[in-house]
Amino acid sequence: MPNHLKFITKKEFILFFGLSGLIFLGGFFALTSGPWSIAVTEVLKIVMVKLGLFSGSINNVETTIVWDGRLPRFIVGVLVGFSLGGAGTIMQGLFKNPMASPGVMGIDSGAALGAVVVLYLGLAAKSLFALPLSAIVFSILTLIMVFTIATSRGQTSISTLLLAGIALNFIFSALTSFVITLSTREFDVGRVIVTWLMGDLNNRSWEHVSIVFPTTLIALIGTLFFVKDLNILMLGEETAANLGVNIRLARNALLFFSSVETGGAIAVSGVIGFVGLVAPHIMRSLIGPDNKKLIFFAGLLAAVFVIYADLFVRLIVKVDLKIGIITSLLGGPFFLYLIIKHRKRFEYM
Amino acid sequence: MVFFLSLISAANCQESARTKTVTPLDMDTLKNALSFVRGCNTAEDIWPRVVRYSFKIYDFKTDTFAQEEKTITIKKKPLRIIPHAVGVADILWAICPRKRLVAFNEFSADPEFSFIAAEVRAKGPIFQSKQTELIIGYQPDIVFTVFYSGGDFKEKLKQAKIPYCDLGYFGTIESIKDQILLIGKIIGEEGNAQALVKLIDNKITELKSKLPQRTKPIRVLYYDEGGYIPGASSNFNSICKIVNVINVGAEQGIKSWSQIDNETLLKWNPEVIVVPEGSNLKIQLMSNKVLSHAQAIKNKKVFYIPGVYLRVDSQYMVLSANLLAGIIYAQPS
Repeated sequence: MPNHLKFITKKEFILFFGLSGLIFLGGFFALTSGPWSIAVTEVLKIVMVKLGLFSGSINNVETTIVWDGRLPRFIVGVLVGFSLGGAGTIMQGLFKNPMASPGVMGIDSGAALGAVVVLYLGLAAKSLFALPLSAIVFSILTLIMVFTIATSRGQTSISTLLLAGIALNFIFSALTSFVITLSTREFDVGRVIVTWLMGDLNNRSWEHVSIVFPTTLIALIGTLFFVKDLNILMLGEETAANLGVNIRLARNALLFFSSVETGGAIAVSGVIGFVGLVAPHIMRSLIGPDNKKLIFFAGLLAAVFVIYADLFVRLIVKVDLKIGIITSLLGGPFFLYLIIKHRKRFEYM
Repeated sequence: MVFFLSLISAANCQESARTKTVTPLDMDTLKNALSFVRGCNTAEDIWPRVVRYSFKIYDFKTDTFAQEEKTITIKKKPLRIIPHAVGVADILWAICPRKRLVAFNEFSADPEFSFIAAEVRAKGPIFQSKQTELIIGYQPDIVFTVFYSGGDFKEKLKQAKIPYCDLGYFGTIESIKDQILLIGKIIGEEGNAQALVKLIDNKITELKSKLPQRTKPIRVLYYDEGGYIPGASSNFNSICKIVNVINVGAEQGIKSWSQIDNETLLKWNPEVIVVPEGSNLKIQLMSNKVLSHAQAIKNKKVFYIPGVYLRVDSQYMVLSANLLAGIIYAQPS
């Protein structure tokens, strides 16, 4: 078959099955392991009965543990990873900068501030939806602020966007620190805030899935409409304009969808660092810069990172280590390795 | 906005465990008794005096206790005293003539942390814990610091030549009694301190005598925000011991505090769960699908308890034990 007719290359095929296999394997461990000992056959039976593929009697307690405890936690992990990987891909493509991630636009810290305020006011303890709602609203507000600052006479400058994002990052981080300082009076609230800022998938339920699933889906579908434009934008704005791309619309839409993805992910998991930065970077080196594919592959790899970090925290370490610490501890050195390996290339960017 | 306001009003409607619970001992009488104690001073009033004491702290890194011997020299009877922690303020309030207490920190004036908040606010003045300048300005004869007071704060006191006594672990009723006797010796009120210790022992005996006899102790779990559970070295564990119940966190090997997930909570399956008042944890736990199989949830044995009773590290731990006994054995009406 001619190369241009191939939907997927052999390498991508292997990568796709490899990553999907890792996600399934992670799912297997996530569903079959936990403090409550449940036989593997029983877990499989529960899943099949619940999916309507098998009829038989299943234990009530074990069904609740697997179906309402372990499974939503795993699905939240997959969706959070996929969202962060997708958002990172958009940001790196849009800014033509491998260092870009949702964090550079201040979206992470905006969402974090929204969540921390709700935690401090005690509203998060009163409703499961208060914190995610606030995180998403704050992430979108951050985006609007960044755009308002960076837009002059109808023109939005990419470099001003980046600088405004960095400035807002500092402001929101300072405000978050201030709220943490206030919360130290009520040390139980302070403890919850700090835990949340380290990223956590503990006790996630179907309600959390119902929050992050729509944001992931909406952002993914929305991004797919503009992903071709994103590829062209990477060639430069002048070229893109010559090729008929509505630069303003494409850029604004892509930034909006990446904010929705990031806000949705942070809303249910807390701040999980480095995944959105490292996953697109690794995948770009493996499959190339085509964002149509990169968004999926980076999403899958980021999902693998999040799932295995959660399994590590849940099943191996078993102390109060949080998922965000693991992703940053592993992602940071790996990213340093990439920088050192490719430093010549970065010098000319 | 309407959503947030409705949440806040729902919180305000929460029933108070303190006002609805029938306790073995009368709460107000007990609180008054523990707030003012006078005994006979048999020790000689000799100054300066050198006091040697054992300073015990909990090392959170290793989950073990570290202990060292300390010595403090007090040149003259301290007439201007400042406590730098709620527990110390509670003790001084009971055993020291109140005119000698020159200032209190903000936590002692906060009802979320202190049983004597109203009295402290009325007496004043109140300082913020980090306002070292203000504390120096009061020219105290002694400041009672605690192990978490901060090295910078203690260094400032040292530079200002203000004597301070650094107190260690307050987490159990036994350690609290040791601190009471030590504080009594340092301020020259040994008789009052001994009387307070005796009162604590008597009240615990009286409380225990009123508890129902059970062949198997009730297993109680304290569930805090974020799923944090106190273990063996926590004051909650000490409160549980006073009222003959098992602290499930300690039973399951938690030392200080640890976070657990719902599945673990279900596995541990406590008979009673207590949660801090002001939170929405009871509703959250009762509506959680995974926990619907836990016996405390099935039997609707999840109870609110005001945070001040759970944070206590003074003689008022007896008050907390009395309330917990009321909640567990009698249950709110």
